[in-house]
Amino acid sequence: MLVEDKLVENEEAVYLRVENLSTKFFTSKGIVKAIDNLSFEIRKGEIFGLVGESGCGKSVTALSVMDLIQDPPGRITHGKIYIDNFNIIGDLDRLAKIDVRSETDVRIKRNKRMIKRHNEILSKIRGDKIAMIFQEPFLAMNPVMRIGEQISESILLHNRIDIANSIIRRENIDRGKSDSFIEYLETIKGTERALKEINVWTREYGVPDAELKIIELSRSALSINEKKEKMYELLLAEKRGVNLQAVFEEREYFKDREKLLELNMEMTGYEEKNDEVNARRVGEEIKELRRGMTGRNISFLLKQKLMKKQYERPFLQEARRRTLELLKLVNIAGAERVIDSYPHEMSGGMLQRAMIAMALASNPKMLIADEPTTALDVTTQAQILELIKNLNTVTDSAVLFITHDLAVIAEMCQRVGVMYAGNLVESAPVEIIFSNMKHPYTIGLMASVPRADKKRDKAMKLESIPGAVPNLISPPTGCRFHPRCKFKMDICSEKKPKLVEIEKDHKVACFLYSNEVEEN
Amino acid sequence: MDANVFAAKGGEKKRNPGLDNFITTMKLFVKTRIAFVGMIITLIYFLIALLDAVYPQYLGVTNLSSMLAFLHGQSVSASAQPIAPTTVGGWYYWLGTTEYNIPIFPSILASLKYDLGSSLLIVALGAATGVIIGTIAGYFGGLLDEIVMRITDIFFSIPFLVFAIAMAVILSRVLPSGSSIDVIIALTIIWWPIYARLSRGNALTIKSLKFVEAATASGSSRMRNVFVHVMPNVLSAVFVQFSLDLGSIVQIFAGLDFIGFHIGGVFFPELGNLLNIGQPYLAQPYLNLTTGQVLSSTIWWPIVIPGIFLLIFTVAINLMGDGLRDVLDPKLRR
Repeated sequence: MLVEDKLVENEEAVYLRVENLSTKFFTSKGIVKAIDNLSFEIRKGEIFGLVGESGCGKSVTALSVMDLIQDPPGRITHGKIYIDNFNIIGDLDRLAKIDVRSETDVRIKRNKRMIKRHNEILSKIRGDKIAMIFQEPFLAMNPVMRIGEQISESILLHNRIDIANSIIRRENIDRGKSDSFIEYLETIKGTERALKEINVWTREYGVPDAELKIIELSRSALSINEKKEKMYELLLAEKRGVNLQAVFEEREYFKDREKLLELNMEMTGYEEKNDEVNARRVGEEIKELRRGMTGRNISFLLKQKLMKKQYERPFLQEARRRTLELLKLVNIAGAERVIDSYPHEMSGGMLQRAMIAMALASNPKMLIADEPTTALDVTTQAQILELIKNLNTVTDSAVLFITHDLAVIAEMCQRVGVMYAGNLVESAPVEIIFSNMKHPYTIGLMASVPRADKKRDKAMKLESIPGAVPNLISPPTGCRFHPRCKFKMDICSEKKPKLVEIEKDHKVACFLYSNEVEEN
Repeated sequence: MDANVFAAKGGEKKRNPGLDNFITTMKLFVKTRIAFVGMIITLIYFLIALLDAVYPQYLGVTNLSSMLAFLHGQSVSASAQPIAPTTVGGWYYWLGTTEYNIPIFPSILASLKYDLGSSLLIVALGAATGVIIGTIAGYFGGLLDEIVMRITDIFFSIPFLVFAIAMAVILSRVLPSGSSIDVIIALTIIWWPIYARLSRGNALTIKSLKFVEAATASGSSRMRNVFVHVMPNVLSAVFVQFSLDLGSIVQIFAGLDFIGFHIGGVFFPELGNLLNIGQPYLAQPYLNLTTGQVLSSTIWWPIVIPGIFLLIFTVAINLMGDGLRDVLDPKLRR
């Protein structure tokens, strides 16, 4: 009973859950089993580190979690990835049928219609619920687009309805609401909370430029009625004379699209459970919605393209404002200048900050950082790490942090997973990984880190794990680490050890600690 | 209460990054002297063409025969011998005359309008079609890519001048005669595969770059990736090709007219046409008509002078294209 209770409790806190994930690359030389039966989970607001040597599948894991594996040659062949309790990789058997005739002769039959729908759903999730910070900021930025445009792009891709709402609120001043807000401010006058409330209110109402003035107003010695008048004047001054009809139309259009996507997601869920009846019902609903949308959408899209000033400009302005805010959030010096520069005009550290701003564009609850500091120099590295850590506490988003630098892991993460040749061999809270590691690979990894605090004598040389990461076309049988392992036993080359919890939150896959065998 | 808080913020000076970028590009361009000279010459050509397009009355040449009527008040008649370049009779005769005593200088200036205008149109249409088709094919790959590339193979396998003539002949049957639209369409049809291939190749490399993946990761759809992220990056290579092609298309356009494919009629002011009507005089000695004395063994100016104008333009535009390639390449510009 106790165990079950704990599971349920964990269930709620888990944001990303990867179950039995396998990713393969079908090449002319054979099938590369890049990830084999990988399972892990990341809780809300936690930083989870993934370490391992080069070529052991860390980056492929990151790409798999975003479902960004290049196809062909790669495909996720097995498993489930739940983000916020939605399986983002969909029903693999329906998306494509993989017919393995031999290692080098694999025929993949893709279901184009299903893949199209799957991609539509994915483009809604990517950037919105889960975003990625890439390794080399120089390569991950479009060289012909300004930084501001690139960040605005991801804001506009996901937050159109939100932006429309705040424009509408700004243009349609609701006297009652502004009055009651002033009354409310009067009650909490002069406190920290008042400042915060003003900040939130101005953003929600699309008048962030008025923030300072409202703070000043709330502190002034005017009577409450005078304040209400003054507030009304302030809000009037913020009005920009936007064509609200256009904004309403735009909001309707994106609401329709949102609805369509939600229905599609619902349908995918039913199909996965083989619930024919409900799937058909939702399918009918989708058809109905599509039929209703077509005419309206064509006229809207035409107007949007032809009358950019009325339709697109207010959104661009709002996106630009939010971009500036994001750039300030990631502590870029001279954000007003940076927003209009091109990537080649900036340094690596600044670009990485811009990348992070881009990832944060629609406030995702899960960030994937794939070696975000590898391409940067040491001081910049420290700043970027600090930034990611701060953002983790400010925005409360979970982070999957991938690196091969153990020092970084020690600094950043709460829990750590150690990967070897596409398998997770050990996972534990960060203190345990550094003090009480169990798996021979983790032990070897730790021993190969140079340390200044340990006395250097001749007996204690810097060790390295003999050999190299195996070729994943034909990985070793049994435990994939056994050819390099000091504690090799007979069973190691025959059976594959299962990832077993040996103490609370500490899981190891090794026959030294458990005899459980992983079944295929 | 502080009144200042409610006052509008003072207008800060905003710099225009687009203009800044353009200025640095131009500075670089000026530094590479020879490309700059090419650009200046090209600009002069286009300026003349533009002036003539806006104020045709200054040159008075819309049609060579009407110009003759305008000049001499006479109908077209075969004259015995063209006049050599001379300063007598005003600037019209500076470069001499050709058949029917048509003055060469204004005819050349007038012909630039048609030559440059048509080539610009041809290359622009071809590039637009080719870039869109090529980029989409390159990005999506698969069967679509295969089909598009095999079609371009077919286009490349036929000698393109022959293809152009055949196409223009067919089109001239359908389209109204007396205009150059048939040749423009024919050359456009032949020209797009070059751009399709070029942009397909570039799209293939660009689509595998990290920033496309990053865009996908932030929720950009495939169609959006093609048009917003891949296509603008393909364009820099296309611009270079565009500027180089402008030179060759002018040659081909003139060449078609020269071999007797009378674009827009016999009296159409067009460099190729001028070359064509001037060409027989190469074999004819230049005589002093009153004494019969041979002044020169050949009447060279009706063909050499239009030829030089064509040559200068082609060379200039090629130099400019080379310079553009250097300037547009972010790795070379530093």
